[in-house]
Amino acid sequence: MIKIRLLIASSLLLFLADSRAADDSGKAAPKEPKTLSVFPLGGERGTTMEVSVRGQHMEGTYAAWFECECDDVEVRFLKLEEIQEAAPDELVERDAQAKQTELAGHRARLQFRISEDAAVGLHRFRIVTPRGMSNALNFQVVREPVVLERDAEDQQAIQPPVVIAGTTKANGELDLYSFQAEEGEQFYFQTFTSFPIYIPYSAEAELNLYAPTGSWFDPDRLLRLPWESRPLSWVPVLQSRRQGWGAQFAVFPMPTHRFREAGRYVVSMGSFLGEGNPDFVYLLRIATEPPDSSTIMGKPAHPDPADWLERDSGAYAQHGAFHKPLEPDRLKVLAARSVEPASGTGTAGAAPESRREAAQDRVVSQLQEQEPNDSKGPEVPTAVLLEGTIDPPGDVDSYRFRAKAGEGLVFEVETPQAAPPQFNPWIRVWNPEGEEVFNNIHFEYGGDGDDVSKSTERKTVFTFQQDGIYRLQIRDLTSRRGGSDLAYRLMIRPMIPHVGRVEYVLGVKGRRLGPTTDRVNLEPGQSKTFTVVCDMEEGFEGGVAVSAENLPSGVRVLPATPAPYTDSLLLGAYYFPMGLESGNIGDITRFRPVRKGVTMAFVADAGATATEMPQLVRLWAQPTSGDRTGARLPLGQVPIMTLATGQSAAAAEGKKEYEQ
Amino acid sequence: MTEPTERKPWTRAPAGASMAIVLVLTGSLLFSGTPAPSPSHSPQALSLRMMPQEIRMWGAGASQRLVVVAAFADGTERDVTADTRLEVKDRDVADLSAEGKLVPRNNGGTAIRAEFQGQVSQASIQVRESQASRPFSFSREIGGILTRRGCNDSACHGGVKGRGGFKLSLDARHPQEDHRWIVEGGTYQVLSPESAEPIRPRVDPKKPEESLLLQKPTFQIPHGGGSRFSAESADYAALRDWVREGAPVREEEQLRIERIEIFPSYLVLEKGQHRQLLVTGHLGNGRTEDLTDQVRYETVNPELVRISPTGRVEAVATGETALLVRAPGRVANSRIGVIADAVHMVPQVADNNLIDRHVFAKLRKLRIAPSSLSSDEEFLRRVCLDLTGTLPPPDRAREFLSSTDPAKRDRLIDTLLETPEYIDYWTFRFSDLYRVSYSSTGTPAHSLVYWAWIRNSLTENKPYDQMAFERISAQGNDGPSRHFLQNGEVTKPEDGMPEEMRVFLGYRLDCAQCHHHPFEEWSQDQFWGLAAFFGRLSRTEWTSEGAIVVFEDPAGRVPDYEESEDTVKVLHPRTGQEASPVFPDGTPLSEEKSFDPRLALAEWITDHPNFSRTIVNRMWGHMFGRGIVDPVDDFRSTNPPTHPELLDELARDFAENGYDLKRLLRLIAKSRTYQLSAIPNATNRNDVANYSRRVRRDMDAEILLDSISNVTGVPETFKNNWMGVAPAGTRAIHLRVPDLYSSTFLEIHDRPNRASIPERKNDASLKKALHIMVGSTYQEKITHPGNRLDQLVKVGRTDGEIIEELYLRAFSRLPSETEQSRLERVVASGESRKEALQDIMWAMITSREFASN
Repeated sequence: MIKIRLLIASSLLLFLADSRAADDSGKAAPKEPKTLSVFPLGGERGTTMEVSVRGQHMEGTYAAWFECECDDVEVRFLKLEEIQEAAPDELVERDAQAKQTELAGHRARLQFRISEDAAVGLHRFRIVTPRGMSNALNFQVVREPVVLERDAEDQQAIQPPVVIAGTTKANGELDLYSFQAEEGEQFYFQTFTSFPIYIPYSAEAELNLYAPTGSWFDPDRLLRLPWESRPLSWVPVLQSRRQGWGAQFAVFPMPTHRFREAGRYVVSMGSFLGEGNPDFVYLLRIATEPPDSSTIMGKPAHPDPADWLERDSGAYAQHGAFHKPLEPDRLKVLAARSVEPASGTGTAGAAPESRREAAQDRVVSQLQEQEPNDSKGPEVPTAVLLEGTIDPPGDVDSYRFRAKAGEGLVFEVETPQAAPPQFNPWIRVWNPEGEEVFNNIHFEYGGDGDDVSKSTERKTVFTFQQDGIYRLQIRDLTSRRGGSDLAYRLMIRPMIPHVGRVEYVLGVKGRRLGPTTDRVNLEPGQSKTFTVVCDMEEGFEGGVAVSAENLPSGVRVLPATPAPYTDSLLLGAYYFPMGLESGNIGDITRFRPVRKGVTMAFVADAGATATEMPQLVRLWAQPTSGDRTGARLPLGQVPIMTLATGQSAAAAEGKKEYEQ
Repeated sequence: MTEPTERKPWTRAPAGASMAIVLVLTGSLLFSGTPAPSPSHSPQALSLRMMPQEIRMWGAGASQRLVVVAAFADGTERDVTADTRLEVKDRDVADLSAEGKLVPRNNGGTAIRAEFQGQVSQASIQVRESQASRPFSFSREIGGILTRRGCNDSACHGGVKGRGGFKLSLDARHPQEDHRWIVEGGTYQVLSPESAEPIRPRVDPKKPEESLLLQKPTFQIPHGGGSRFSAESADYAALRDWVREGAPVREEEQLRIERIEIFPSYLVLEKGQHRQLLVTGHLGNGRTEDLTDQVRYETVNPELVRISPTGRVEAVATGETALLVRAPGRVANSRIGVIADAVHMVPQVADNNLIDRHVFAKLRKLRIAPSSLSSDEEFLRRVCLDLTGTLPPPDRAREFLSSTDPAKRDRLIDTLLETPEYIDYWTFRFSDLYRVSYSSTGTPAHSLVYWAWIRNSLTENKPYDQMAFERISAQGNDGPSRHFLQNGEVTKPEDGMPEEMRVFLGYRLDCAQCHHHPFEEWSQDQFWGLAAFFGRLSRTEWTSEGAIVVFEDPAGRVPDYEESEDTVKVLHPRTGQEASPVFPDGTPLSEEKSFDPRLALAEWITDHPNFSRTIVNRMWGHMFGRGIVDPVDDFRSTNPPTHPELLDELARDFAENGYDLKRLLRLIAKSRTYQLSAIPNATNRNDVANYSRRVRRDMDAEILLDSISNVTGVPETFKNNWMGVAPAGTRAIHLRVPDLYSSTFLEIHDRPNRASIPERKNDASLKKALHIMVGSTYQEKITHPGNRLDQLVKVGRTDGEIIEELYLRAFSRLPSETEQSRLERVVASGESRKEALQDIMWAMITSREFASN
């Protein structure tokens, strides 16, 4: 049940007036609403604040809708303003990319009341209009007080701990904030930014720290201080992809600095290559305590139950799999994603060897590494969770295990602290003759044929060719880093045939198996397709049944013919497939699951009634084998809204679906 | 202040200018100075020295040339061998030949006595194995002839492809290959070990006289190289006899020349004088041998000195040059200075530090008097630009110029080295050298972290060997590792290795990629042995282009599409064999270090004697505009340093003091040599290589633009190709990814694009001149509303005060009285005060005094 309180009466009147105006003037029917930014980008728990949402085609906006099924944020719609912006001439002249520039035409004023116990993290919300819901924007709830940027001040004074909400509006803009630090004090900085999808990554935020030392040349000169960690990361783009459609947002690592002297310091916030835009909004947290998992900005406030990351594989959409925890009950968890074996028959679709292992439903043992183990380590069982650290730089941890000819084993690794690209676990295995038989480096060709992707893999599956004792080695990909944060949890286990990641993709178009939209606005008689993609892991040979619940009245889910290229795209592991050809010798399934997909459609009956607010349709996947089915696995939640006839963008544009 | 003695007109471009004005900009550009006093010249010898002092002769064919040098009261040394009376004590042991060479008679020891003008010198003689014939050695005997006769010169058969199908190794460095091409014949192919047709031996043991090897150089048949020797010569006979004996390839390691030594290593001659060189070979068996008559001599500048085939040097014209001595497998050099006469007594100048000791000692030898100490104004501007790339502000200039503190220069240097501008400037310099650019790293983000690593390293004054080590061995996704991502892909070994060698060791190895280096001892095998250290360089593509991790993969680099695992191996192009990491001395990389080859290479490079020399030379080049070895990254035997001892001592000092760049710069800046005036005197007017005066040079593009922005008070706006704009106040030297910020001014002034290691030349050009006259940069800044002129006018400054302020800002000096009064008159007589002041500002920032340092 979605609980949000809305004041919609006045806005509905506004909508009606707008609709009439559009009809009377003979203008083209309005497009699907689209949002570009929200300012401030976040708010403190227990406060009420006014926010403005900028976007396009927002006529008739009457509400904002948070996706979480909770009471975290209460929304009050205040008013909608028309704004007129023009791209600077020089921008248009100078760069063809300016053609993509999307200027806001509306600004919705909203009031957010954030509850005292709101979950800290990222909350997705959408603007709601008679023509449907907009794309999602992200709003960060924090614990600290949020201070707004004051444009008039050259160096705005702040007092950490604090979160600053600002905007880099113009090209070359640099926002400066000054603060006091004590000798030996360590500050932790974190930025969270959002910018429209069309802006290239040059708009990424850049954070710099200065001491106002002055200089012989200039008494006002600021001296740039080195960060104690990287000031800029490349995480943002992929994070945004994983989060789906909408404004991009950036999550940066947390640069720190320990101040050698007490005094006043200055921190600057700007964009990496000096691009500014009214929709380039940011949060800057300056804290005196190291961030914990709850204070890392950009993390969803409510975990997605469908967020099953089994592979990482350099796939954009699966970034972060190395952080996925491995627990001793891993075999049981994986077996739950399969089909319960019929009595005396084993798991459906499973290979005979692993069938027995899975049936045992046992807990793997845990072992802590014992140095020295650089060259010769202990013999360990083949269902084990090994824990260790790569310390000092160049450290190598070795283990031995016994394998039989034809036996398939899985090697999974978790990096609970530092993760790629800072820590890249490199697993190598040698046979009894001392020949390297496999490792977890995978490469494949892609793009237009000249791109090559080489990656370390979180999960590697290998079937052994001979009996014997094998030597396994784990280390960092480089020899330059080491430390307690280079911690690993390496699991060796038998193969468990199961259904891995299952997800849906809205609006597959062209050669990309990627979403072209993040919502479904339907009017009676319309249908919109989506593709469900299933990873069949470790030899799972059964099927997957898809079901939906919480559908709006008059909306059904039906099978459909596949979207173009779907079959071939499924062969690649990439959501943006780089190609189908592996650079590795041997079986591609060492690094890639078998992928299967089905195209389905949301179909609105002719008599479907319009809904005032979107609702989340829950999709489920269920492994099947023969006449047996496994447990329901969450597949995802699709925001759907049913519109009145003639309101949808598709209707307005002659069935041109999914126009963003 | 120097009063103007020379007047130069500067006329402003027609654009917007309503009048032409004449400015008088004086000071450091103008010539003045007092010639050094002319001492009386004395022909009286004060001492005598005979070389060698210890003579060792082995074998029946041995001989030893003698050189006797007298020192005279005027400080010069002259070769008096021809006028010296020589007497061997025991002529049964050794005797003098008709040519004046010492030859052995019997085993034993004796001495030789030399007497000249009453001065005496003696040398000991030891003769061993006087009846023994020297064993044959192909490289010494045959290679020696080919070297001495110039057959294997780089312009002849020693060139990259050889000549006329016949390839010899330069200076007989690879005798086995030479023997093959002589005896087996065939045409050399650069990229293949196979020889091309026609396969015809160049020797004929049955008819030795009909061998091409003899007929060509004696011009019995047409030969592009002309006649190299006659059929009556000893060399002809030696070659013929060798062919007759079946053209053996025997090699005697004990006779291999390990090193050659030239006496003297540095020579000063008066114009018209001559001097005999002695060349001593140090052999593989530990013995020495007189090679004076067995080598080939070349002079780098034959207009200054001439040299005979037997090593007799004749000084032709004043100046300094180098001599090259080529022996089989080895090259050495010697520098020669030719002075006009020896009558000038060079004044003794106080040394500030070791730099002055070396520089002034050489100047005394060359009879060049250093210029006087620079004025405070000259020094202030110079040191600020050289250490920080920034003009001093007027209030600081006034403060410095009015200070009477005798240590104010040292204090200023210490202060400048601690400014943020020092970090800015040297970050810019090293970003240039290390090639921080979008095009070289693949993405702006890569460039940023690379740049940040350089900046942080300089901020903490990281020891330079550590900085080098971090870059050469870089892994991961940190700053220096981005250097190995050429356009996002890992640098290929054959591209990456030569760059590291050039940047850190000053060696240019690129030529040796396809063939043995045409001028140096670098072989193709050495090239590929070093390249193989980069053979495991690989990268991941974690999640997006920015997070690429560079690492050492036993499988090698990531193969491009349609490449196989084999083609990513480091293959020797001639042999087709996979190259493995081998140090240049032939030592293979040990097994235990093979997992991380670049780590071992980084150790080797940072321990290499040329590592410190190279960076010291670079920094010297930045400060003086010319390296002790010049170009600064072209160390080779054929390009010797002007001050080898100074370079060595600076390098030693640098290494012994923690590879401290700041300390090195401080040492240079505090030397009197650095602080000499640019105003020449009668003795150093033509000197550009011995640091007897400041040789002014044009500012680099970025420094010039920043200086113009500084003086006009109008910062440049840098727009990048990604639609962004650098924050207000960003200077050209602040640009972290400069190739993203196109700039007409910077391109016209030859800003390098960093696609390769930048070599800034700053040559004058028509386009620069036109830009000064009509270019937008100058005009826009001069007329920009709110610029410095506007500000000064707004606060009510008088014309005189404005002129003074501009002079201090642009030239770090006050205008002379003449300049001041004339310029004030220009303003007063003009129709528009504003335009007149704009004209003055334009004239200043387009002047040579402004644009050079």
